[in-house]
Amino acid sequence: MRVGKVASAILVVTNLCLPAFAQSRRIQSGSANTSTFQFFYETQLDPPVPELADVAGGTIADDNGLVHRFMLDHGRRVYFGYDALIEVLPEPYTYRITFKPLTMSSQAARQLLGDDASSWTPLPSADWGGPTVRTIRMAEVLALNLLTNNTTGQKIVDYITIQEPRKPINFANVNTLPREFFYAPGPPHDFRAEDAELRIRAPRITVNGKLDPSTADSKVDTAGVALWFYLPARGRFILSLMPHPELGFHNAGEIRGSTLKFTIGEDNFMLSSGDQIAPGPGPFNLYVLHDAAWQPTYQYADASAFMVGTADSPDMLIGK
Amino acid sequence: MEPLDENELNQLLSEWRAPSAPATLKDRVFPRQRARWWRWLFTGSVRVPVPVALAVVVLIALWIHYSKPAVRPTAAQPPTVSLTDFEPVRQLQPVVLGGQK
Repeated sequence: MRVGKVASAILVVTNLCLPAFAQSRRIQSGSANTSTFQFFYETQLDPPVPELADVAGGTIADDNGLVHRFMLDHGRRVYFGYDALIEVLPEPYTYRITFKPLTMSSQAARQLLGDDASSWTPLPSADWGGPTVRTIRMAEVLALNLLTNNTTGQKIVDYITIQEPRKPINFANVNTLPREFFYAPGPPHDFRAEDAELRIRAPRITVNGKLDPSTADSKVDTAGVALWFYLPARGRFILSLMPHPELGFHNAGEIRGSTLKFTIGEDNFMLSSGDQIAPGPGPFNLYVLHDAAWQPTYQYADASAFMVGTADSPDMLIGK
Repeated sequence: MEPLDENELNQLLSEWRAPSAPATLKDRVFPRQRARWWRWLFTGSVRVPVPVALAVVVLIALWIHYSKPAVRPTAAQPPTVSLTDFEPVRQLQPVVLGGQK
């Protein structure tokens, strides 16, 4: 592969804070854009427990339609991936995809794995019986069972789709958000109150009327049934639309449009989001669980930085 | 010595004069100053009706019960798996999803 033609390389850090009761859990997602198509993927761990730790991933694509999809375990210096060669067919919005085991030139490996690329080890991979070819159309999704864990019975599945290429930025679309891809496997069910998510975008938080400086430049945009944020020296606050008294949540405030506020002890917290926080037009009670002693413990964590995370169930966050 | 008869005893009794009270008796019966109040904390007692005592005990028990901090479930840190715990499938079999029903 000519590295000079690399069109995009996106690294996505594994999201460790996702559902407890779902059939599977989204652990990665991302996309690779070329001049003729946009490749989207979402990686799920099924079942979601035990969690997959310390895995990042992403894609590298070139203008020949070849996408290298990879996962990295920086701690153990192990990687895995596959190649997807995508051809745009004459029928509009129709694509042929040829899957093969991951290949990387030494230059691409250095770009992806660093100067000590030789110290990395690929997961031993079968040859998959040669290239596998599939044709998909707009809105169709391909499910790829990639990895299995015979001890836990878990599998890692990539859901991928191909869409039109991202349009060059101009005055007409400069404010248009890029397309994203989500996929929810499993049988559908009726919507429940506990399925409703909280969303915050570019949050700004004030404590007793004063802006917490750690949030001044936050560009976070995230959503989840349970949403938490960490303020330096104040600990972690888990927010939920549902009461969850069994977990120690208290009705501590309210959500109104793009603003929420709550009170813990003598302190009044207000969060202003760049978008509507809760679904639906009404004001809602806000249930909060505060852990003043909580600090991020992952490797190289910066305890002086504002942090935000989500989960599909509050109990996933208790004790973590 | 011959024992006294009843007449002699009555005569002696009429002549007997009771001794005067000792000087300390008055102090013991009518202390000059009251005992210090805090001594009551060590030696005093309060008579409480049984229903009142029972009610106080019940109230204290309820107060202790409901003032206990809520026990937060502290889920044990679940074990995790790593990428090295997985192995690639032998045959890649992509499945097309999202077709019309």
